Amino acid sequence: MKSQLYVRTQTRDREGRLLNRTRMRRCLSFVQGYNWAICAQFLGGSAPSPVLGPVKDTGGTNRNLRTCGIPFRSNGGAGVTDMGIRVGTSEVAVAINQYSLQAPIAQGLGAGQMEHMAQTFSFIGVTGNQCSFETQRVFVNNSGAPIAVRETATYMTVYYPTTAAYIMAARDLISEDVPDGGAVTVTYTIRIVA
Amino acid sequence: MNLDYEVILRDKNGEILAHLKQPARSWLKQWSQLIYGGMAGIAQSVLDINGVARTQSITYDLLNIAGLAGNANLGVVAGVGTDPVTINDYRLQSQVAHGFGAGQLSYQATEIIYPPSVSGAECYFQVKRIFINGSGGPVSVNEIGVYGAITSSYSACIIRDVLVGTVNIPDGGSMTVIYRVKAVA
Repeated sequence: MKSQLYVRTQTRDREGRLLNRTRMRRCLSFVQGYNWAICAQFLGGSAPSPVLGPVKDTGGTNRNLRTCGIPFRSNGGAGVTDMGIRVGTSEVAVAINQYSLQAPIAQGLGAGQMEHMAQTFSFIGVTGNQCSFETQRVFVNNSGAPIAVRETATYMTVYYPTTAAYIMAARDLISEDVPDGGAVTVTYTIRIVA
Repeated sequence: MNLDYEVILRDKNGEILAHLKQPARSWLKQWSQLIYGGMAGIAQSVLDINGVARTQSITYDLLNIAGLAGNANLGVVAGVGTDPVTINDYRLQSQVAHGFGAGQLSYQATEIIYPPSVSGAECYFQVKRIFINGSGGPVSVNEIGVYGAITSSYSACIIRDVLVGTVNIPDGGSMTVIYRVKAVA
């Protein structure tokens, strides 16, 4: 029984017409950050000794982790880019030691930017021998020009000594061309299969 | 996320009698619920190891598995049950109690062996517990698992595995269980 990750995407134009939709596909994309976050919670102590680190946060800064006050939190609100699903423009292959998107798209309305909608979650539960949940985020392109989205990731919250930091838990390559006024929706499914 | 386990059986002199290494088949529904609750910030109702629904913590206590010596309600656990794993299992089928009486095992502290290490396309860390048999007779183990914290007071079965064969721990011997938690890119 594995904990498996799947991703699917869809792109719509400014009138909401569906331009492209990819079926749910299995990812091989958990990166080291997810393992560090789980390890920090398993330890159950506020100050692990020896220190749990260093691991790079999404900004590339080395952190020593501790058990988190908001573990795994990924519910990024509208406009929030610290946590939750993110998208970027790089096609560089996924590697286990990556700690951020290679070319993240910033929040905003400027050239090359996208508006990040609030992330949503849905617990699907047990179906047969599977148990799964989904999390989804919409990115709207009001930049004035098309944007080629080529990577996506999930950022989640960890703690270093006293405050929150953010790590990349998974990264995947996607291919969605989002016209001006359009939007791309990224949906991750996390599933365990007996 | 992948999971493997190792079981190392030793006699009273520390000699290795058996060494089992298998892929685990074992994440359970409670694992999904606890991770979901943490990610979404929405506390879930999760069955504890007694089958009672508990509202999970979404703060520091969540998924602590560092059970101290003698604590059979947190960390790696062992049992005698042989029923196949199902996704809705909420405890070991028949857990071996902590102690030195007949059919009991002495639970040592659960150790988290960290930091996570990268090897090729994998990043892994290990979870280890030693069970000592001071019962005066052999103790058989057929199932292992991990109990993790729902809150500071209650725990859930997040992992359960049925061993491919019975592990018979001789009196004075021990069983070491090591789970390897892996992210694979």
